[in-house]
Amino acid sequence: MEFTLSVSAADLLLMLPEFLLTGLACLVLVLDFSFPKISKATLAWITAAGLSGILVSLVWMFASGLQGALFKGMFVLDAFAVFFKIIVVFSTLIVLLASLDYIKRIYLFRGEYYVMIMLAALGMLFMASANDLLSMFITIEFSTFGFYVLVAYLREDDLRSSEAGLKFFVLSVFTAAIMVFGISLIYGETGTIIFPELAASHPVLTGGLVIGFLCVLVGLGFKIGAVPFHNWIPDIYQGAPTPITAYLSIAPKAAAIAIVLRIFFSTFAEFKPEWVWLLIGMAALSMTYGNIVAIAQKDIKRLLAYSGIAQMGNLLIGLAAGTKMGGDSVLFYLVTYLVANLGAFAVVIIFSNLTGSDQIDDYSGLSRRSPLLAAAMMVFLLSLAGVPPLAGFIGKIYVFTAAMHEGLIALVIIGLINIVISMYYYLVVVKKMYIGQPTDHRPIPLSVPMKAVVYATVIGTVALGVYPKPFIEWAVASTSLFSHLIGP
Amino acid sequence: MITLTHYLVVSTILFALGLLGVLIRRNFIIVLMSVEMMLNAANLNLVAFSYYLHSLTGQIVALFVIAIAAGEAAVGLAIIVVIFRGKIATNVDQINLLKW
Repeated sequence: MEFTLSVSAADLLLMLPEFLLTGLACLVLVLDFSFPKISKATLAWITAAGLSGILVSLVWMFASGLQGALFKGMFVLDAFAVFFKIIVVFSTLIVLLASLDYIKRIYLFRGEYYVMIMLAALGMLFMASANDLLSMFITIEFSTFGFYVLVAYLREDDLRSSEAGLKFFVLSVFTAAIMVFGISLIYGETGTIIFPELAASHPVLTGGLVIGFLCVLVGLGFKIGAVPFHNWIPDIYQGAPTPITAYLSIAPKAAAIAIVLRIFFSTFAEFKPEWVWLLIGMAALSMTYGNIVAIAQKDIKRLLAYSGIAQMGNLLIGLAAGTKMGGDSVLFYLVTYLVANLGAFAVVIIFSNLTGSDQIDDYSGLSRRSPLLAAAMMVFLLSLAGVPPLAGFIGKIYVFTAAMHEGLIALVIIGLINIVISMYYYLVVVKKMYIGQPTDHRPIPLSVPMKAVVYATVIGTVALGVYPKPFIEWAVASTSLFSHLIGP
Repeated sequence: MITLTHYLVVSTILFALGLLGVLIRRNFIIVLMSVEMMLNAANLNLVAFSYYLHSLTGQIVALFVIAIAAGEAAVGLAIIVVIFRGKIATNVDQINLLKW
């Protein structure tokens, strides 16, 4: 057998954002250890500038409609991949800005913190482009390696952080091992691992293929944190440094959703009657479990963790629809979840920078200590709950409409009941902020980057709710690879 | 004559042993070893399929899985060292600060 690998410069243009990010990570790492006099804040601003440049290059790629596949179809670039890359880079940028104050709690290896964030982001950029089972596995592990380190970054200063890192590590490698076993079975049954070839081979639904598929679903379900693979989420969210929690709650989930959509909607699209029940079950369980357990939470990070499980359940409703419209709604829902969730975590970061506390009771009377933060938090929580006219409302309506078109009425009713349940615990926090008496009357200072993050996410949350049209059009344009699913 | 079925039976037993090890054993080092065993069960599968399907893909995947397993061991042991320094424990039951 002979292998030839011909890659031209024009082909490499498809990987432009990845190359830029690799270069940026190396640059920051080298600057950090070669010139110790450069302050860590400068490094952060270099990183932020570089990420903004990458964001611009991605927008350019989307506008120019660049697409193609590299390395025998292992790496694919299309509008769909670019959509997820933009989400990943945007959330990386927000998380980086939100880390600027928080990182003062870390005494050692502050420069490497930015590098690890960039390497995790690099893994997720590749995840968005992964087009076969091998690159799926490698890229998932690549991004998760960065997160193992980042979750445990507080080391001996906060034992909860290293404990969270260990739990994350054990559960993650465990599910990764199950996923590899599934990959080996799918390979054995079909003789190929490339997604389009898998779809073209029209595999027969044999026992090996079913077990393999379920094993891969375990790994992916773990990444998106849907019930029954959600056990890691609350502990890891609570123990990890808060900016990393914010990052974990959106970017890896978005990148995993890209892979899930590729697998369910194009690779195994012909088995829709079989897998739709899996997704319906996961959606209903995630929503119900997340919302009910969230009610009992005393820690805001755990509350947002359970709310994140429930949000993933909502998103799975769109996946269960299994149509192109379902795909569009999932993409749009991710954007609405991104702005509201990152915003809520930004408020948590600002609050804990002053008080060092994440207890919901300590948020009492926040409106008197910082009217801006309380108002922003209210907007984010109401958007997560799905109150009009905010982003979450449009996202939920879109997902429900897609499911209604496919006749999943029971699932939509479960979703509606869950909105009511979730309203309760979001409003408890809002009530505490506005009606409760503050025990501590210090006003909460807001640095410039944190202010930028809060304003950007508030504007995003309101704008997506009031004028969602361009974003819906963007989502619809990005899922053109699922146009075979439009149906009658 | 060793057929594909023999390999699959061995790899399934290996996988099941690893799975049980992760679920039952309480020491992190052993848990890590069990995970490695699960990964190697998958490698055995991949190489066996590769041989019987006359395609090289499986062997290439197995090589990557070995590399990833090495990386996992490095990061995992580093995290265990941090835990051990802060709190002299390598048992799962003793790591219990976070719960609801």
